[in-house]
Amino acid sequence: MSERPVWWQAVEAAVGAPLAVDAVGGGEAVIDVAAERLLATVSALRQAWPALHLTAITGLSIGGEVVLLYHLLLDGGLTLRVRCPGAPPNAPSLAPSWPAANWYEREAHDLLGVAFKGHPNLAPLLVARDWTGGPPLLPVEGER
Amino acid sequence: MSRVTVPIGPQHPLLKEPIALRLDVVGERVVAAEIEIGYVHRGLERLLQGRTFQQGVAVVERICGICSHAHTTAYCQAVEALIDVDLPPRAAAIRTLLCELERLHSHLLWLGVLSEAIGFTTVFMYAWRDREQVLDAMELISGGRIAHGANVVGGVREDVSPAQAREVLTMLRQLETQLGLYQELVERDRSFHRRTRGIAVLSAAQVQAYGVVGPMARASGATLDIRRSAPYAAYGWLEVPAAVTNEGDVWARAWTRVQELQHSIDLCRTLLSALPAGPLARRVAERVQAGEAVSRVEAPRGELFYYVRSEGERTAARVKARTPTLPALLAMAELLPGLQTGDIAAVVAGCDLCMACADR
Repeated sequence: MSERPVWWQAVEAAVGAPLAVDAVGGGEAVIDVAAERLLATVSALRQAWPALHLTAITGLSIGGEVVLLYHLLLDGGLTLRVRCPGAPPNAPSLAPSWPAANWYEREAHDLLGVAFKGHPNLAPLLVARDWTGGPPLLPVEGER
Repeated sequence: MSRVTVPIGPQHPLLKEPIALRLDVVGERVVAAEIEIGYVHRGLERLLQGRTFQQGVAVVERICGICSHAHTTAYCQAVEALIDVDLPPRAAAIRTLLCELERLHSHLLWLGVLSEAIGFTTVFMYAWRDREQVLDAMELISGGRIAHGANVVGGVREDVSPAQAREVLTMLRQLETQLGLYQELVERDRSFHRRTRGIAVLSAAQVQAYGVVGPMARASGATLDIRRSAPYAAYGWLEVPAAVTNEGDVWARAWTRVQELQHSIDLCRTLLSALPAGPLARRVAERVQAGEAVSRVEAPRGELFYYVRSEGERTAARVKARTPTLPALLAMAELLPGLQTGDIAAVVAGCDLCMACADR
């Protein structure tokens, strides 16, 4: 890459490893962040760009593993990709330090069963409170 | 005085769509607020998995009855990025024209809802009457008032004939005359000011903390507008003015939208006066190469975000939509405590909620 984006240095320092950047359709960058480095990376980014905007958190189920995508916006779009280990899958919660993440995390908990450690209230947001069918976006046995 | 919990909704005359507000009040003052959503969750993201990419357009169009075209625009853009297809210029212009007409009708709807909430029924009647003209124009172009079916992956389905363009321009001229009334209301009307000035002030720091977008954020000094920061469709050729103010109260949310009404009229005129020639859509294959794409558009309520993932099949592996109402709701929960109960209606209406969007 000839010219590094503005966030490169801050993110590399927080991630603690040389960055490998994927491009995603729509012209935005994606970088892998280990779950345990997520809070430090986001905090470093927010310090460097006080106007950093959290657009969304997308939860994916890929080959039996849950992956979270944190879509950010500074002067361009940037996505942090976090693999969630464990069963149920878990990830650290951004909500205590960044309220914008609160409902997006509840939604990922609803739809994919991700347990966010440190979240103030993981009550169902979208699914009915008496729903017992399991997270709707996780593959059901026998279904593709 | 004792603390009383007042439940509002999920069914309540104040609300246009189901949402549950639980407000703790002491006397006439709100001291705590809790919001529950999910009453119109239809599992649309789950439904989109396993549909073909073209079928997805019809599903996302039905997420919202106000900004249906913004949804299909954002979704189609993401799929087009996956396929790596260029939008023909005429398609980009027609897509953008419908986006701006949609902004006009959404902002007029909002102005009516707010006016009704503060007891200004005359303005409610005027705003909704004018909104009908915009819906008629959209129907003239697309055949649909609410679900337009205008976008397809690779372009648009509906053309705009010179006769249609003339009719839409006539409608815009009439609407602009009416706009003077709304501008005067916002700038000078004392009773409007008394019900909206200094009420539920959202600070710039709160905008950032809760990720608030759109006119609500711009009324609090934020400049985020995807049409300006990352122009899509035909916005790259247009000059979109900024409607930003720092007051952050309900009045500022009205001021921002009334400015944007004028801007949208101007943008529609520019587009209609010079619609590029050429095809309406590119032919695209049904199977989409493996990959993932994101797309952001400025819906009437603010940044609308889509993520689409393909695993190389004919059908989508994952489609995710983040709608602007979600951060607005988070911020609203912070704005309600401290209010007089008489102001709740103005604040809830002023946040421009769309529960169908939020719940999906």
